[in-house]
Amino acid sequence: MAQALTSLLYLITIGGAFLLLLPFLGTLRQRLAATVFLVVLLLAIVGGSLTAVFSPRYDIMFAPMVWILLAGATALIGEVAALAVRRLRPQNAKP
Amino acid sequence: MRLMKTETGTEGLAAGAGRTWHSTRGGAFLIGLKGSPERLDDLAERFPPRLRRRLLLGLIGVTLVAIAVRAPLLGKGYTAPDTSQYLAVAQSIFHGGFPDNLRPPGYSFLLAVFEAMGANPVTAIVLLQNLIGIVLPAGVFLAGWRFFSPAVGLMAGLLTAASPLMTITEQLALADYLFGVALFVATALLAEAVLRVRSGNPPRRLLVAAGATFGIAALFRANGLLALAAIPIALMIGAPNWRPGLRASAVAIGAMVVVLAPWSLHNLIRFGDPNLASEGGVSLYARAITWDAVPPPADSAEGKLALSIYSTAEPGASGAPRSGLPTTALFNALIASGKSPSEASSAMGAIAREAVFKYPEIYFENTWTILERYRSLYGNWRKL
Repeated sequence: MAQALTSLLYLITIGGAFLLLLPFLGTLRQRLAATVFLVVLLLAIVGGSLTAVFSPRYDIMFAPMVWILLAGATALIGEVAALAVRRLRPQNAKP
Repeated sequence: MRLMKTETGTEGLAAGAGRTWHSTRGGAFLIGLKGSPERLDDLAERFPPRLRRRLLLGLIGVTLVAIAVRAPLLGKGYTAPDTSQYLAVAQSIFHGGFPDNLRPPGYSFLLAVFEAMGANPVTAIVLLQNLIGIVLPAGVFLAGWRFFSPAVGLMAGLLTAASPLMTITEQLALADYLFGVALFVATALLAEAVLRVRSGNPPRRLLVAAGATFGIAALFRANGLLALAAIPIALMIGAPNWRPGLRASAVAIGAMVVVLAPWSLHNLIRFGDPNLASEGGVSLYARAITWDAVPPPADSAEGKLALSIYSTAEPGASGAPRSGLPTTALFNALIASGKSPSEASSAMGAIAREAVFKYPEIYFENTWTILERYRSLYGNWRKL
C-alpha cells in the first residue's frame, strides 16, 4: 500500500517535477521549509550521482525528506486546483 | 525629520516589474496561493491545544503502524558485502585503534561498543535501527505537520512507517540508515532554525543542534559534509538579509566543525591525513571508470596498473558487472604495492579525475542517467 501511495504521489506531482515549485508556492513557512529540504536533497543526490555509482540504498537514505516534499507538493496541487475552481466559478456565472 | 527614500534605477525597474506582475491575473493567483498574512507562526500556534488530541492520535497511529510492520523482524539482522569491512574495523578499535580512515568512524564504533557489551554486533545494531524505525515516523509526522499541514505530516509519517524499503534498509547492518535518520533530523532542525531566523529571532541553540547533528551524520557517512554547503545556502535564502544569514551559518557550521574536529585530528596524527574519510577516491574511481566503462588514463605508474587491471576485467563488455571487480582489484593491487589505504584511494581518485577531464561527455551523461534512475525509483519501485 505504501508503494502504491508513493507511486500515486509521484504521478500527481508529475514525476516529482512539482517539488521544484515548492520554494515559490504556498505560505512563507512552507516555502522556506521546502527550500531547506530541497537544498539538502538536491546537494545529496546530485553530489552522490557525481561521485558514486547508482545504488537504490543511496537514495532510500533520503526517502523521509522526499515523502514530506511529495506529500507537500500534492497538498499544494490540491490547493491550486481548489483556488482555480473558486476563481473560475464567478466568471462562469456572469451573464 | 522624515527621510525620503531615493529609488535607484534598478530599484525603480524592480518595483515597476513587481507592480506589473501583481496586477496580472497570474500574479494575483500566486499571491493568493501564498496566503495572507505573510507571518511565521511559532510552534505553539502550529500545535494549538484544540488540535492536541488529533496530534496525539496521529502520533499513536503512525507509531502503531511502524510497530506492526517491524514486529516480525525484531531480532533479525542481515549483512551486506560492506558490513564485513565495518566489522573488521570494529574488531580493531579496542585492540590497537582504527586501522585506517577509509570510512568515517560512527558505524564501526557502534558495532565495537555492542561487541564489547557481549552482544552480537549485527543483531544489536539492527535492533537499534528497528527501534529508531519505530520512533522515526512520529518525527516525520511532526515535521510534516509543522512545516506543511497535518495531512502532509500524516501521509509522510505513514509512508515512513509502512514502506518496505525503509524496513529493508533498517534490516541491513550498514551505515546508510543511521546516516539517513541523522540527516533528516538535522535538516528538520535547520528548517526550524531558518524559520526563526526569518522572523528575526535567531535561535542560537537550534543552530548549534542542527550543525552538531549534521556533524553526527557525517561521522556515519562522509556525504554529510554536504551540509557545509547546504547550511549557508539555506540560511542565506531564508534570512531577511545576508548579515543574519551569515552569522547563523557561522554558528551552525562552527558546531559541525566542533563535532568533526576530534576525528579529523585523530586522522591527521595517526594517518597524516585530516580528511574525514579517504574512500572518496575509490568511490570516484568506481563511478568514473568502472561504471562509466572508460579505460583509465595510463599517464602514471598507477594509471598503467589500473589500465592493465581494467583490460583484464573488461567492464565494458556486454553483461559484465558495472561495479566492483576492477575497482577492488586495483585497490588491492595498490595496497600490495606498499601504499596505505589512504594513499591508494588518493591515487585512484587522481586517475578518476583525469578520466573525467578526458571523457566529460560520458561522465555527465551517466550522471544524468543516475539522477533519472534515482528519481524514477519513487515512480516504480518494482524496478528494485
